[in-house]
Amino acid sequence: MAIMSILAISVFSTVICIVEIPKMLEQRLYRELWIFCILLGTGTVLAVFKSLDVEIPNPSDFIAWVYSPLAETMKSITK
Amino acid sequence: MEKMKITNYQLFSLTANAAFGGSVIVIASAIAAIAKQDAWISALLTPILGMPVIWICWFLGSQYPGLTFVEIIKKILGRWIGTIAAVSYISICLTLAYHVPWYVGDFVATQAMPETPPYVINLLFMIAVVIAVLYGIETIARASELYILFVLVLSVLTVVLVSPNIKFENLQPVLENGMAPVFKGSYVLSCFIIFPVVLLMMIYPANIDNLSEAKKSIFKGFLFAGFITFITILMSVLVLGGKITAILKYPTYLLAKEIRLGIIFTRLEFIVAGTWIITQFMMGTLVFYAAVLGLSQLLGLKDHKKIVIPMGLIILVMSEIVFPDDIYQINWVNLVWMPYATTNGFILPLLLFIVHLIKKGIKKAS
Repeated sequence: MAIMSILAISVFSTVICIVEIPKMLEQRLYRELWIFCILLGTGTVLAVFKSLDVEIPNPSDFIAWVYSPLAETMKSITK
Repeated sequence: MEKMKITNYQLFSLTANAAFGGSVIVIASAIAAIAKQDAWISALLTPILGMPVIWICWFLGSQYPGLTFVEIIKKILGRWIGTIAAVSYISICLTLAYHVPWYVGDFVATQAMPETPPYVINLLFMIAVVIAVLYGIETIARASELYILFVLVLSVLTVVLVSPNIKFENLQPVLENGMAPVFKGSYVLSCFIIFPVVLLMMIYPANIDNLSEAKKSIFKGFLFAGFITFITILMSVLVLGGKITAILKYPTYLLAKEIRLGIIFTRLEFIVAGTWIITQFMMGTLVFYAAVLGLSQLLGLKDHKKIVIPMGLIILVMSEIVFPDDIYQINWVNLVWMPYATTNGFILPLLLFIVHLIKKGIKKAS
């Protein structure tokens, strides 16, 4: 199954690149092109990791860490 | 940047959707866990408490016509502090954008299609959201105009059909533990129905023609959302009782399962499920639009539609890893979501409001 999903993701990313990048080059949106490539790269890598069951750092944990000083107060409110 | 204008009725429906969209089926349980059988009093109080917050949002928008919230933040707080505040604001949009598919996937996978893996449902949902955002805000607004009618009709239908099962004993004793749990409950409720309205600030001043009429639409939309939430919570407590409502994950769904009118009108729970998936879809679209537009304005992009598809991919992967299990989700919502929503939905607009007034005062004095 892992190979199938990796294949699907690669095909998807390639198709999106083929469709979108020439349009952006034509309109001279170089900044958009950079951000597009970075985001699509991040998304593809994340999706490949996910299909290989590699543990991806969870953003919820980070937000929980930011608000951990307030955890006790929240416990008293939600009791 | 596109400058499409939406009508005031559309603003009304978008506000209503942003306020109750994400929470209408799950919220009764969190409130009933705190306020028990008095949960309905909390639901009655919350719209009143929310008025000042909504007024601040409206006021900020009316002072900066034609700008989105990220631009307003940057204009008021300056470049550096403004960037930090904008990052925080975009982070909450992104967080909600991958929570919404998680909730839909979890709901469908646990209640309706247990053999389907949740990520298939997330995938379908995200495809719909990405297509909606690619069509642009005008299409989203028009869709919400229609959906709000569906939601109203279906909610009223559910309430009418379930009303033979009402037991008024479930409301007694009123105010058993005094007012304190009621206020705590309405704080929790405001984290779900008042503070998410700030997400609408990406649309409200930028795409509105008539700002004086917009005030009415925003308040009406908010009150409408408060009303829907109120009847949902009231009916849950009346039919199921405070204790059962508190331990359920999707109390409104079970409420609809209680519908039994003769032998014809039974098993109508997918009325509620359908309503909820519609509102979740609108909520998901709104937050995803806000996140993408906010991110592209923060990075100084000319066309936000170029990054919609890659962002959709990231959101899709994130929606599968965000909550590993239900216990984690309940703890996270109780301990983290509330301060997080309060910071971005209440403290941030309040800060902008105060700084705006000070700046205005300095200008007048000099």
